[in-house]
Amino acid sequence: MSKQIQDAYIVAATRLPVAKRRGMFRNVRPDDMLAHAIRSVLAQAPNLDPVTIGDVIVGCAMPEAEQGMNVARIGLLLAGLPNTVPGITINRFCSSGLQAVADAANRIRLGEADVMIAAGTESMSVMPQMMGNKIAMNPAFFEKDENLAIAYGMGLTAEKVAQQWEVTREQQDEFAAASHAKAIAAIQAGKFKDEITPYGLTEHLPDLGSGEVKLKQRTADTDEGPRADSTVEKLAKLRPVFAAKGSVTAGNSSQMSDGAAAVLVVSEQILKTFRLKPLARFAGYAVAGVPPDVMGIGPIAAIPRAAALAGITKDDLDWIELNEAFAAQSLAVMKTLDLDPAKVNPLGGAIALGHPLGATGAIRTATLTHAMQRENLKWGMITMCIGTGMGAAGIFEKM
Amino acid sequence: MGLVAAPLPAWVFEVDGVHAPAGSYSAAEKTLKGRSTLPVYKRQIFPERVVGETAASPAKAGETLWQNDGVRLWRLPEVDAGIAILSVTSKMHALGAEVVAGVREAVAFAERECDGLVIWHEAPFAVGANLKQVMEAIGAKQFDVLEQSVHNFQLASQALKFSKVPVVAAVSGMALGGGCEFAMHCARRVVALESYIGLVEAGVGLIPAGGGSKEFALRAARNAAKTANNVPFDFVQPVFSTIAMANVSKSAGNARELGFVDEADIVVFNVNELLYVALRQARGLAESGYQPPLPARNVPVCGRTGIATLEMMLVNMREGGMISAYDYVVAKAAATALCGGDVEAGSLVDEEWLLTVERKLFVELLKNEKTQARIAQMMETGKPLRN
Repeated sequence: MSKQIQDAYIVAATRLPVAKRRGMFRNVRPDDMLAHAIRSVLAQAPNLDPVTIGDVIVGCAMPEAEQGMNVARIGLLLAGLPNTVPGITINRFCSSGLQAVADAANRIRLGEADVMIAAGTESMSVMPQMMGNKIAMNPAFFEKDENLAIAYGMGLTAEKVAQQWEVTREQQDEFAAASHAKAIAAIQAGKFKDEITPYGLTEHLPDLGSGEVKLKQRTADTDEGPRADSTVEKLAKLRPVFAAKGSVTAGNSSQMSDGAAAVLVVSEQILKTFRLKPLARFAGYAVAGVPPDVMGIGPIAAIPRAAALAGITKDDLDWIELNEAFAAQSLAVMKTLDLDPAKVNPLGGAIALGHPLGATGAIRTATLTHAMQRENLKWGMITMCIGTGMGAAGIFEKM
Repeated sequence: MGLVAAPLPAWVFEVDGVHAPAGSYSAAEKTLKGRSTLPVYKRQIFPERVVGETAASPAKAGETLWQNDGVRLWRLPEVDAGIAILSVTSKMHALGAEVVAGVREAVAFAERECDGLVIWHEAPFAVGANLKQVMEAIGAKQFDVLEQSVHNFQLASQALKFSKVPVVAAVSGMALGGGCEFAMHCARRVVALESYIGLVEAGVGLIPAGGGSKEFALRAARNAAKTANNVPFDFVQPVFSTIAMANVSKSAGNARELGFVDEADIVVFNVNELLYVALRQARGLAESGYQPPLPARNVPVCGRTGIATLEMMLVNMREGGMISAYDYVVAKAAATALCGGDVEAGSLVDEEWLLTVERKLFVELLKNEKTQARIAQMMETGKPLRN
């Protein structure tokens, strides 16, 4: 039984380079990053009339403070879109950006819209704490043991996964070092050039000597996270962060980052009307719940569902973007589903490239769709684990 | 073979010692010379003495106004006859029942007959409660007596805070547990640079209950009211870490960072000037028309949500093997006291409520065998037990 009346196609996908938390984007607002991504993705379809955009869906995992106030609407207005274009911010933590792509595609697949923008933006630099500006736990979490894991930090869940899936410290450090090596090689080979839109930085800084405001300008065009000097030996020296006798360190965990991306999704009718060339067809998306104390295994539950919806098996996949929240959970997922390591994150993952939470799904959509074009690969997938115990997976078919 | 070949000067063999009651020997002037009379040295009421030099001991100096087994109330007429000085006389200045009673009596005396009160004695300021008395009461299962003792301590703290005359704490060396709480309740603190201040109760399985938790809850509400978001939790969270980890300041400056010393308090670099500065501070406050604060009412607390948010930190630390199951229990009690008890967030309470919350939690912890084991080990070895 068909669940859709038409297909949805990715015709453009671009992202800003990903910055380290409080790195090169420390003075860049998330709504400005979003506006830049929206402008950039529309620039890749210059024939398209922006008035046709049905909605702008933006993923953001901590939609508050500088990225609050429905950052989607603010970002699209700052991007110069007509004020008739609406916008909505959505949140499913780390899968928010992929969820935005799925929701945008689904609106088209249902025939409710012909042009949609899906995006993600997240500045972890503006967050004083990892869990937002004001943390306020529910006392009910602590009244029943089965709810206790809602309060677990992500790192602790990675420790639980490492224990239960028997992932060793050595395996985690090897995986992390490989992530950096692959990312550095990809940067040197220029493999991110097609997907990155450089961002022009202008910082207003006090010059105490002259008493004047000094404008510091530069262009950000390269991911800031990857380290050419990362080695297994160096990673092995780092101490566990989340458990006294644990194996999860800052080095084998994803980096906290700032970033944004936007994806232009259209119907077949729009492809023809504006003579657009699709990068990929959106083929399926699934989310699934897992125990919160081992949230990192979420993709184990989500990937088979997404593959079934797309009508393929995991063996059909040519390229997998598996968000490296932690090496421990990445390895547990790969081991359980028997994923081919050669197909997983060929350009490195979040341990090297960074993980700006709600933006990551949209960012990796840009990576995947451009890679599939470049490498002429048919099926690709983006998948990630999600805080409080979920997994998401989206399948894309190259056109 | 000697360290140097040069012969000792002849005068070394002529004088009978370098230091004497009359002063120290000057080889240049061939005579004993007394201490310098430069005005700066008048700030040192009890300067460090050299061998052979005689001077009045602080324990016997001045005029005694009142005393018991734990404290001596006295004054120095030649410096300021209107400011009383309260000195703790117990071993290591531990705060037992006699000291607590002495504090309340001293405040009452000062209110009747003086312009101000200074708490001063040579370091340490106080090493905390008298654990021997606590263990004796536990052994006799006199928990009602213990609760009354805690209540008495709180009354002493409140007496310091609401004294009609200014009370200045002159702190040097360790000011731990109850000593820190007494200092926190004074109108002003004059703190020697080398001061090690902290609420270390967690180390023996307890929480600050001499008004220390209450004071931090009040300060959180007061500080939050000055901010746009008015969220007391932002100010409770760092204090919680300090108390739960039993952190002690590494210096007077660090004590200010940890919240034990206020911005208006004075840091004194030369510990020998501490008493002088404290007396002057007390006089200054008195001459400025000092008025005690009003008892705090309508204090918003973090309540259940605040406790749960701090508990989130504890769950992660316990599950990660960083703290023991009992550390969790003790730290949650500290969280509960700082957040004003198991009430709705934003509930309005008063000082008496906060004191009752911390006192009841303290007594509950005292009844726990693991707290008792921690106290016993601290008494025996001086080192904390991790159980």
